[in-house]
Amino acid sequence: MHFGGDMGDLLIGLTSLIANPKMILMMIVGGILIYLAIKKDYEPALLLPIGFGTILANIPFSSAIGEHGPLTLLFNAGIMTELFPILIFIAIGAMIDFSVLLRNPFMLMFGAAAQFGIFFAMMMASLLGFSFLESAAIGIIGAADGPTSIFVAGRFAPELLGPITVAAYSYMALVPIIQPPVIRLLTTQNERRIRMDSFNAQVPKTVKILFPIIITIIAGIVAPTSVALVGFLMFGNLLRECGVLDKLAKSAQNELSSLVTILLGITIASTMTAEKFLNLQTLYILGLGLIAFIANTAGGVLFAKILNLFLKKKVNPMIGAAGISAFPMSARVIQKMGQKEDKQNFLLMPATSANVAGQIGSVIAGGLILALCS
Amino acid sequence: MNNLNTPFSPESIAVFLETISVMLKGMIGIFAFMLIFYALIKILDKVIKEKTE
Repeated sequence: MHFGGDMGDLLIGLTSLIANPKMILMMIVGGILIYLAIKKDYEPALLLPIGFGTILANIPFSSAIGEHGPLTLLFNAGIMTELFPILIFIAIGAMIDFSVLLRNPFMLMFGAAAQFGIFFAMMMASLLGFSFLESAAIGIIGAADGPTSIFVAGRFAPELLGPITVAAYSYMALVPIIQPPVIRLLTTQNERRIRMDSFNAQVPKTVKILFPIIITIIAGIVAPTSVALVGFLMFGNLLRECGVLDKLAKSAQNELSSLVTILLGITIASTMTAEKFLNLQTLYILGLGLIAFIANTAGGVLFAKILNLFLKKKVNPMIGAAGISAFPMSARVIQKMGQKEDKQNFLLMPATSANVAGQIGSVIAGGLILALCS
Repeated sequence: MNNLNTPFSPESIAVFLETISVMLKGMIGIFAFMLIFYALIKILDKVIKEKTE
């Protein structure tokens, strides 16, 4: 019996860990993500699996990653093939109620304007030295839409997937902290007090059924690369609205969403190894993600202010900020800010419309980025 | 992992110029899509008159 050799084998993990303190640092990063998920409730469904997966991926000689490691196998099967984000889109589609937008379609314009941050962050990333495709992948953090970020980053810069995903989900959770100061900076108190009408959100069933079908066809014809993104989102929505597949719609909203979220989070963590994560690029990506969210908010608010120069019935410019995809956080932030300025101002309905428009806008932006940068 | 270009170097400026073009096309594209969707919703609203739910 080679006792000394066996003991050496047992201790090799410990000695490797001591020799490579970056792995310890990554485990701390994983711990921080778990802490943020549990204690601060920051997107726990994603950040907790990513945090735990980060620990798994950074244990020396971890059998969870590598050629036959389950995390790597899942990554290759679910992320590189784009299967996991696509399945999540079905779940998201089944959760979205487009009624408020269908009653107030003008809000679609804010869903477009508030995608500005994607392109602004992309430009900034290029100036910092990232390649064209990496810049596009980083810019898409500004979509404020995790699955779209994963989908685009998986195609354009899979090596940056870890930090891009962490940035996207972290900043989505931080929308209530990021948006208010930007909005206050760009608007006057009088503008924040502009009242907007609430409206009846009832929509004919036929319209709700036709909407996802026609949107898919139009988006697909104009930008075929967007079919996977838009199509699966709208398929999920059709399940919800058709009225004869309630069981499937509920499965998509609950079981499918939960299962894929678990796999998505822990799988992304396979890219969170010390050598891939602990570098200057990660810091840049985290900073650029924040810039993207700020620019989105500014883009929406400034667009509303420009519109007000021409509109007879003024729009509360805060509504523009709700045109991002972080649903329903952004709408709630705007409602709360509106109430703070004027207790009788109820902005939830129009803000929700803009927020739903942002969900469509982010997917369209993802499709366009794929089409324009491929 | 790929190395970064030097920030603000001629290489990164060349990529930056490409991204400006993507930004212009992208923002115009998103607004165009949204205008089409807006028109679509308005048309559906006019054409389909049935009991709401």
